[in-house]
Amino acid sequence: MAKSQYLDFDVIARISNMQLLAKVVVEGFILGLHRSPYRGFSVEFAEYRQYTAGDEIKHIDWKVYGKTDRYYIKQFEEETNLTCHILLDSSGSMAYKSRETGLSKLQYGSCLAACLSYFMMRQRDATGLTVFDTKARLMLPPRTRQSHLHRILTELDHLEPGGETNVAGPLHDLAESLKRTGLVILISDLLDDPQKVLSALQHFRFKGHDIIVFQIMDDAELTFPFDSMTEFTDLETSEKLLVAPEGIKPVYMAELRRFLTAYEKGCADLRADYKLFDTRSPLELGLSEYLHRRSQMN
Amino acid sequence: MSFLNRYFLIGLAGAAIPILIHLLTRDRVRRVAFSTLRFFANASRNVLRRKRIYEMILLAMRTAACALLAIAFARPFLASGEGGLGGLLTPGTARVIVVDLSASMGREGLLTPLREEALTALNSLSEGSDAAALVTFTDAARVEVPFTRRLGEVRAKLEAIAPGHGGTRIAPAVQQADVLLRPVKARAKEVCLISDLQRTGWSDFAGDWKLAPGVRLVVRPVQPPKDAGGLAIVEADTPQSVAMSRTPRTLAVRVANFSGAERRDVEVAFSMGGKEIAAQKVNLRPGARVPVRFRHAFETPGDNPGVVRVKADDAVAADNEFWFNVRVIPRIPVPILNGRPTSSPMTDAAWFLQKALAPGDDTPFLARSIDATKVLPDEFQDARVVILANVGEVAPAVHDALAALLQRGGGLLFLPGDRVDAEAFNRSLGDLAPCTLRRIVTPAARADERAEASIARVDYEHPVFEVFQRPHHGDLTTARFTQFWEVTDSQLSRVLARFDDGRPALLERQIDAGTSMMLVNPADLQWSNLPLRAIFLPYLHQTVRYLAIRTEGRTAFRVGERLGSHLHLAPGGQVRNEDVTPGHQLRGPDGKLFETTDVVATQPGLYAVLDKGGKEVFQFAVNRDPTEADPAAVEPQEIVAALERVQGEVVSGEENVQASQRPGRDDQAGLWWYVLLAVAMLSLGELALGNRAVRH
Repeated sequence: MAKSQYLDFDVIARISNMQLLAKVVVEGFILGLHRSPYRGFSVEFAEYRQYTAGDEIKHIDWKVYGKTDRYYIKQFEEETNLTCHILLDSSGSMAYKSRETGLSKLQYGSCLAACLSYFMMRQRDATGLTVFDTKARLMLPPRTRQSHLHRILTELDHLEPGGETNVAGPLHDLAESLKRTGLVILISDLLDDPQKVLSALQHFRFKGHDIIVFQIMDDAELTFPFDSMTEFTDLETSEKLLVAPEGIKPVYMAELRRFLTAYEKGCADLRADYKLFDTRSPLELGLSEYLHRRSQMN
Repeated sequence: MSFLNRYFLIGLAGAAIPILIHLLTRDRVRRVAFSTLRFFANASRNVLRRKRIYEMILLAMRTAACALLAIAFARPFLASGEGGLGGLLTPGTARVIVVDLSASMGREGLLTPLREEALTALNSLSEGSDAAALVTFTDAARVEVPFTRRLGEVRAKLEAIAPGHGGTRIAPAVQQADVLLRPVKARAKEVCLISDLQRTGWSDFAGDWKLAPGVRLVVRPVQPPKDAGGLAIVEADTPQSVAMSRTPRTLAVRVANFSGAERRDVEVAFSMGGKEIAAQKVNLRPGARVPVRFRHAFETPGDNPGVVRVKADDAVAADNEFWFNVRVIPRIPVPILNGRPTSSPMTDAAWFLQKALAPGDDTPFLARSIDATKVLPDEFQDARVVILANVGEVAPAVHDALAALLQRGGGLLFLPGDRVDAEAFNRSLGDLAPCTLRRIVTPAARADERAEASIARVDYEHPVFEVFQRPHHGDLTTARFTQFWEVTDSQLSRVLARFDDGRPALLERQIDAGTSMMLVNPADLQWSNLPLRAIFLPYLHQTVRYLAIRTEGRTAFRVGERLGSHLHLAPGGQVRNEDVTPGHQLRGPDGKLFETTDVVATQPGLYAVLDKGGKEVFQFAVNRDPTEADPAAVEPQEIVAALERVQGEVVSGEENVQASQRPGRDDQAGLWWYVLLAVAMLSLGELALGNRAVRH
C-alpha cells in the first residue's frame, strides 16, 4: 500500500464500505460499477428484442420461444469502470490556514484528493489528477494501476501553493482536453468570480462529465472570528487592508453567504454535486456524509 | 469663574486617565495573512473611519466627564461683576486708585500733587504681576479703568485727569472700589484714596458698611496749605417761580471767608441780563460767614436769569458766583362757579375758596366768584381752570364752554355739596367730572367720637401732594368731614386721596387734553373743617396751579444733576411735567448746543432750552455744590477707622446686606449641580455611544 502524509487510513476505514458511483453513464475500459453507454451480454439483463439474421443462436431465449413460438434475443446491460479526473486548486489562497485549524486548505484538499484517489482506484476506476492555479501545473492522466496511485500520492506530497486563483481559465482548458466522459471532481476554495467558474463547470457538463465540486474553506473564513484591529494581507495579491473586524463582520458574512449561495445554486442548476468542507471539521465526517447522501440519490 | 474648594481642581489631572487608558488599551494592529479581501474591501474604510470617530468622541466625553467632575467638586461660582481680571492669574497686589476730581480739587496748586500721589500709588506696583484699577469721583464714582495688569493704561488715564465742578462724596467712591475688588483674587487688596478729604464730602457716610475683609485702605491727602482758602458763596436762597407782582422778593446769599486773613470791603453784586442791579460791601473776618440780601421786584413775565457775584481776587473764582433764574408767572384767572351764593361766609360755597386763592395782592391767582345760575359761556374764554363749588347742574351752553376748556388743556375742579342733586349732576356734568355721584354719606359715629371722617390715604406721588410728602410739610389727615358724597363710575379715574372708610375723597381724570378733579366735599364749614385747616390754602394753590399749569419746571440745578428728567415743555411753550417736544436743543453756559435735553450738568452757569427755531423757550441756572468751597477736612485716620474692617468685624446693618448677598453667591455656587448634571449626561451619552460603537 502506498504511504502518504495525506492518506489517512482512518478516513479510508470510515468510507471503505461505500461506493462513489457516477450518476451519469460513463465509458470505461474494463467492467466496473458504473453504467456503460454500450449494451452487451454481461450479467445485467436489459431487454428482449426479436431475433434477426446474424444474431448468435446462443442468445435466443428458448423459454420465451416455447411460450410464444417466436425467437427473441435476451439483451444484457454492460457495466464499465469510471474515469475520474480530480482537479485540485493550488492557488495562493489555498495556502491559508488559521490558527485554530491544523491544515491549510491546500493540505485539506490534498488529503481529500488522496482519499478519493485511493477510493476510486480501489473500485478499479481510472483516476487522474490535475493541479492548477492560473493554469494547469500538473496533469496525471487517469490510470487504474496501483502504481499510478503511488504517483498521485507522491505528487500531492510535494505540492506548493501557487499564484493567484483563476479557476475558470484552467477548467475551460481541461474541459477541452478530456476525451472520455467521466467524473470530474473539483477541489478548490473557488475564490473566483462564481459566474466564470460556473461557466467552466457548464463546459464540463456540456461534454457529458459528471461533476462534483468540493469547496474547501477555512473555519476563519466561514466565521470571521477576528475582534481587534487587524491588517489583512491578501495571500495572492499581497494587498494590505486595515480593518476594524467588529464593524466589518456583518458585511463580510453577508458577502460570504452570497458567494457560497451562488455556487450552491449554480451547481444545482448544473446538476453537479456541491459540498462545502470546513477545514476545521474532520475530513472523514464530511466525506462519508457526502457519499452517503450521493448513494441515497443514486 | 471662581471656586469654593479650589484644591479639588487638582482632580483635573484625572482627565488624563481616559487618555492613558485609551493609549494603553487601544487596539494593537494585528497582522493576518488572509485568503482574500474580496468580501470587505469596500466597506472596511468607512467602518474604520467611523470607528475612529466614535473612539475620539468617546475619549473626549470621558475626558470631559472626569474634568467636569473635578470642577463640580471644586464648587464653581460666577462672581457678580467679575471683570476682565477673572481670567487672569492671581495678581500679587490688586490696588484701586480712587481719585477725587470734585470742584474743590480745582483749587490752585492741587492738581499737580493729586497726579503725583496717584502716580506714586501706581508706580509702586510691579508691572505684569500686580493689577490696578482707577476710579474717579465727584458726587458719583466712575470706573475709569477696570482692573488690569497693563499699568500703562492707568498711567495714561491719570495723566489726563482734571477736576470738574461736581461735589465730593468720598464713601460711595470707596464703596465702588470695594465692589471692584470683591471678585479679584489677589494676595493683597488695597484701596488708595487720593483726595483733599473735605469734611462735607464725608459727612453723609452713615457707617452702615465697611470694606470687605482683607481690603486695606490707604488715604493720601492732597490738601492746600492752611489758610490758603478764599471767599466763597456757601449758601443761597432765591425764588424759582413767583407770581408777577410789584412786591420786591428777597435774594439771599451767604459769603464765607475761608482764608486766614480778614477781608474788608468785599463787594457782592447782583446782576440780571448782564446789568448790575445792586451791590453791597461786606467785611469778612477769617472763617466768618456773612449773609447778603438783595430785594428786587420781578415784574417781567417769564424767565429772569441773573447772578450774585463776589467781586474778589480769589484762588477759585467759580465758587464766588451763584446763578439763578426767577420765573415770573402771570396771574391765573380762576372763575369760581358758586352754586350757593349767600351773604354768610359759613354757608357760601365760594367764599373760602376765593379767600384762599387770593389772600392778598401778591397772589398768582385772579379768583372771582360767579353765580352759577347767571354765568355766561363767554366768561370762560380766557380761563385755564374753573372751580365748580356746590354746582349741581349748568346750562348746556355753559357745559359746552367747560367741555371746550378741557379740550384746550384746562382744568375743572368739582366741589359738590348740599345743593347738588346726584341725578341732575350726573346728567348735566357727569361727562365732565371724573366720576358720577351716588349719595351723600354721613359717617357713623363711633364710641366717644363724633360722627366724622378723615382722609387716611394720600397719593403723595401726585404732583399736587408732592410738596406735602415730607414730615411737617402739611397734613391733610387733620381735616374732619361730617358729610361727603359717595361716588361711582370711577374706574377710569385716579384716586388721589381716600377717607378712612376707604371711600374716594379726591379723584382725577384726564378728559380730552384737560384734567378734571373732584373733591367730594364742598370745602365749606357745613360739611367739614377743611377751610380752617392750615393745609387748605397750600392744597388749593397746588391743585389750581396743577390744573392750570400743572407744575412749573425747576429753574435751579446743581452740577452733576441729570437735566433731562426735569426739563419738560408744555404745548404753547409753558413749562410742564409732560412730554418734551422733540427737536428742542439745550444750550450750555459756554454756548455749546446739545441735541437732547437729557444731559448731565457739568459746569455752572445759565442753560437755555431752545425751540426748533433757536428761540429761548426757558432758562435755568446750574450751580456748584456750595459746600465744595468749604476746605474743612477730615482726618485720614478717621476715614480708615470708619471703613477698614477689623478681623471678623460685622458692621451693624450690614448683616442684612451680607445675608442678601450670600444667597446670591450660594445660588451661583449651585452651579456645581449643573456641572454634575452635565457629568451625568456625558456618562449616559458615553454609554449609548459606546454600545453603538461596539455594535458597529
